[in-house]
Amino acid sequence: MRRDALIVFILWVLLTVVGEAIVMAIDIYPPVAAVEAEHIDQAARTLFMLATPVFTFVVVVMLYSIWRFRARDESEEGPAVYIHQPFAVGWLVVTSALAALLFYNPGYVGWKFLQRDPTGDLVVQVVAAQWHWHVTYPQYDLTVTSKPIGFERMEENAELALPAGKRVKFEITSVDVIHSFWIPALRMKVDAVPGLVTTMYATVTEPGSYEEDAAFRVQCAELCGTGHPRMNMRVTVMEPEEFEKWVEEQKKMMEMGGGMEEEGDH
Amino acid sequence: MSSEAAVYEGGYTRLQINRMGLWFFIISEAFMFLALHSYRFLALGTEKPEAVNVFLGGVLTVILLASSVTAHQAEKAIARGDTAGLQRGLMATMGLGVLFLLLVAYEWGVAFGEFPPSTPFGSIFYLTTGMHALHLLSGIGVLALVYKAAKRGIFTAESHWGVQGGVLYWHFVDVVWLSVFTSLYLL
Amino acid sequence: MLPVIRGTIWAIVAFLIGAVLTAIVRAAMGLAPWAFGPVFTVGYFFGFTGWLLGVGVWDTWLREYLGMEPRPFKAEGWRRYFGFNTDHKVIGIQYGVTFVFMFLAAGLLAMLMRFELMRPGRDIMDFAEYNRIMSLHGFMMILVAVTAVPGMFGNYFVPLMIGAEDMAFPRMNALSYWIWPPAAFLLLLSPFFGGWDTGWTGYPPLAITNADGQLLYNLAFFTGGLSSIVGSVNFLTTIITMRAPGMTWGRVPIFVWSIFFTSVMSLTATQFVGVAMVMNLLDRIASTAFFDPVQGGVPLVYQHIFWFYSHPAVYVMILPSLGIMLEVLAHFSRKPLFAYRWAVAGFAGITALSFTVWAHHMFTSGMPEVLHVPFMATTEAISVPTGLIFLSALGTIWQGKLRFKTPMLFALGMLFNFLIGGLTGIFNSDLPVDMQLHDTFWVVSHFHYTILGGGIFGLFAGIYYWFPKMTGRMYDERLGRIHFWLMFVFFNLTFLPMAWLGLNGMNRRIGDYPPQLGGVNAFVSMMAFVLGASFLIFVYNMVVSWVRGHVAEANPWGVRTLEWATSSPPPEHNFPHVPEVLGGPYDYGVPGAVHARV
Ligand code: HEM
Ligand SMILES: [Cu+2]
Ligand SMILES: [Cu+2]
Repeated sequence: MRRDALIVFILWVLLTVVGEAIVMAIDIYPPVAAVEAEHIDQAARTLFMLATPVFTFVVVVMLYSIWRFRARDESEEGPAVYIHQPFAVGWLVVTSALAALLFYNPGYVGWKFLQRDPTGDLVVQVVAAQWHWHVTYPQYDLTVTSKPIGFERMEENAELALPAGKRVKFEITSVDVIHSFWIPALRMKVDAVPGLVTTMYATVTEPGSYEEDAAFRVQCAELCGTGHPRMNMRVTVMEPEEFEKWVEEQKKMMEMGGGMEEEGDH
Repeated sequence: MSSEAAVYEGGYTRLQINRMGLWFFIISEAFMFLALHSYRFLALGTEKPEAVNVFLGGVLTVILLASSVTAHQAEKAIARGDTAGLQRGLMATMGLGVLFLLLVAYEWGVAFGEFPPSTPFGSIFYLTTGMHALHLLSGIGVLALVYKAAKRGIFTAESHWGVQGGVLYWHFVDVVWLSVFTSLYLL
Repeated sequence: MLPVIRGTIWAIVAFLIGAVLTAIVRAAMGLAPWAFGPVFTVGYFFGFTGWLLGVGVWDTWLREYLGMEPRPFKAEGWRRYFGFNTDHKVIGIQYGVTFVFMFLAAGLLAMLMRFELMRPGRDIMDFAEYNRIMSLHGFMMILVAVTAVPGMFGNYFVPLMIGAEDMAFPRMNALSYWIWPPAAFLLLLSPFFGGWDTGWTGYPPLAITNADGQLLYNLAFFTGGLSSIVGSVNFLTTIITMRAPGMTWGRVPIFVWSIFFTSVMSLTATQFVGVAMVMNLLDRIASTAFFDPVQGGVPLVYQHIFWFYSHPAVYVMILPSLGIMLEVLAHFSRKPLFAYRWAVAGFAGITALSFTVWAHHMFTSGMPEVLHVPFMATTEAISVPTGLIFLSALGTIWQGKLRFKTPMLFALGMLFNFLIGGLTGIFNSDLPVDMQLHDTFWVVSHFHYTILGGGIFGLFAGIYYWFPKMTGRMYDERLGRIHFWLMFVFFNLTFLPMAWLGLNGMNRRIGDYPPQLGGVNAFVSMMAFVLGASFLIFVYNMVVSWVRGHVAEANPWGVRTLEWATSSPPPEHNFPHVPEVLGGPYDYGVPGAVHARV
């Protein structure tokens, strides 16, 4: 009994060390384009680190029991152990403490961070409609509209540009059903609900584009009908000067009537 | 083996088992009205149109409370072995129930002009009172069955689960009305 | 005439009566008489009633209430499964066969989806078809997960395990089963009305304006809910009042406890989904304004009402399987169930908390910000009672004498999968992280780990464990093991990569995704096909063993609970006389201990 427990303990420690090393080493996250996104990835990493000892504990106990405690003949019965009170109490205390810890950090702390500053240098108004995104920059008097033309023709689709280093406030609503405004590179989404304006804040960091990684895209994340998978558009984070240029170009295109025609097949 | 049924752990009798089953059913139905009320408060808070007729609601409440009294008397009567009293009580209860439904129908007609079902308040008003009316209607159906059975003389002072069950359900429908009255008329 | 045939005829006649009546009333009101929504809905409720009356409610029940001689259903052989049979063992098998079929059908739909997702772009179906197939798959599976274990094993084994001759209300028990065929029929019918494309959650406003198939979904969900409620009234009353003498609360087998708490949730929460369905349906067919923003309705309230049911429902899917898991672990370790009272407290805690966490499905929905933190707190608190189940499971196998028969393999596999399901759930409950993960394939991975890896693995543990008792024959152990290993390995290979996909920007409920995710999706699809194929082995094993497996003894596993103390399968009233319970169900390793005298 003592010996079994000791071996399990040692195995658990070893496996946990290996597990933590793996969790820290591997990078399973897509590119990041906002301060918030870094925090969210950090929160996920923290959760992986907290989950690892739990995972390894259960697995080690299971595997060790499977290996060590098999019945050798049909009549064998185990010891009549109904409970080990101190162990059970300890278990309850440890799991409660863990739950409280994760609630506080990364949960509560992380949430407060996301909510820290409800302002934005740049306001982006988003109106969702089956199956387009109408993106308006009120400060620049500019609107771009995406088309449901699919990933194959993504380069022809509209672009949502964001200036690096700026804080952006998204104001989101819908005119028909519920959609969800998601930019994976920002690690955030919020639903576009008819009759309601929802908000999302991000402090954008470095330049990046859909051509580098599909995380730089707007993707509808709430099932909204047939065109749902194609309700997306490219996102480009660019230096502020370039952003100004981009705005001018878009305005010119708007005047020429380009890029606005209804198109798309489902 | 059935003759040994009374020896189960806890010594429950068939009557107690039936009663417990009915109570669970009542708890479940109560959650249905809880769900309806939750729409009312989540979607509309306590806001309500001017046109809601509190007076009529009050009259409806009085009628139902009276019907609970007559239902109770019916049950009391059979507990004394008074079959005629039971039948009188059931008749009075069903009569009040029908009166209630007629008034609800009248109110529905009037409300159609004031807050039709195509407004959020109208929607929840019609659905909640409609669900309640449906329960009342089924209550009348149950009492009618009980009444028929009483006429056949199958109930005795010792054994009248049918009456007890039907009356308990009736009381429940009345209590539900009190919650409906509070949430849609008073608040 | 077979009652099912009579039920069908009565259903058709009643449907027509209801439909015509509606049309007449509509015409009288000056409306277009044949509007699909109202006519079909009223017709359905008429037909539903006609079906129930015809299939046996009239004969066995109403006749009695009307003072006529009741005509209970009596039949032998295969016919006894096709009528209003009140024997809980027959009902258990009816449920079992029905829902295993439903599971396999929904699994085929999953294969179609994985075929479409194997490569980026559009292959075998368009996006609308994908949505419909996905919705049908999800909803059928949800019905299977909610119903199969309580329906099949709850009905069959709760009375046996507590030493009763039947359920408290046998006729209601039969009713709870015969409510299902109309629901199943609606699902079969729905593709002919354009199907529905909202997933199993049916969020408005989409669910108010799309094809008429949505109406059938509303009615089917409502109907299924009715059966759950009827069933849970019966389970609760049975477990409280029908325990054999000496079967005190401290001696009740853990599976019975799990059904008890499951029933508490089904009894109450289910009403909420019924109401949500009715409101959605009225918005569609009667132009009410509940969730329709155009008329001032509030779509988010639907989500509150829906999830107030559907979160408890996910525990309805897992609790009975956890009960089976603990049961199997104790018996196949030949050790008392470790920390029995703590495990019961765990079930109780999960049940209580399950009513307080619904809005964790709505963290990104735009609901008021004050709600987020409290719902994160309650959600993470659920990990504590869930942890008690793990305490009990691990404590039980520790130092036991383990026997690796197929049921045990599934129980251990379930413990592993459910661990991953639980840990991935922590990520979803964490507010910042859920901003990224919500509505992505991470969630698809998470809930398949809990429902398929947990709930359905538990279902299979139960099927293998109780197969000899239910059929009187032994399954093929070798095939059982092959099935387990294929299912376990390829389940993990299918669903673990999905978590990565979600994290990397693949949202759920889509027929297409960014090309850069193609490689992993191709891998996932291949693994899914092998997973799907593993069920062929299961089906083969079941069919062949049921027909000509070795005849099973009364207690082939040599275990202690009461269902094994009677013949396989048990006689009509289960035991020759009421058993007398003398000790706990898991007193392994105690010399001379006796659970019950039969
Ligand atoms: C046989 C192996 C299975 C495979 C390969 C599979 C695969 C899938 C796939 C690809 C989706 C669609 C994801 C999306 O596009 O959003 C899905 C959805 C779903 N599956 Fe499965 N599945 C399997 C078994 C199950 C089981 C056993 C259950 C539950 C008992 C289940 C429950 C669901 C649910 C509830 C949905 C969500 C539907 C919705 O979003 O409304 N699946 N499954
Ligand atoms: Cu969408
Ligand atoms: Cu939930």
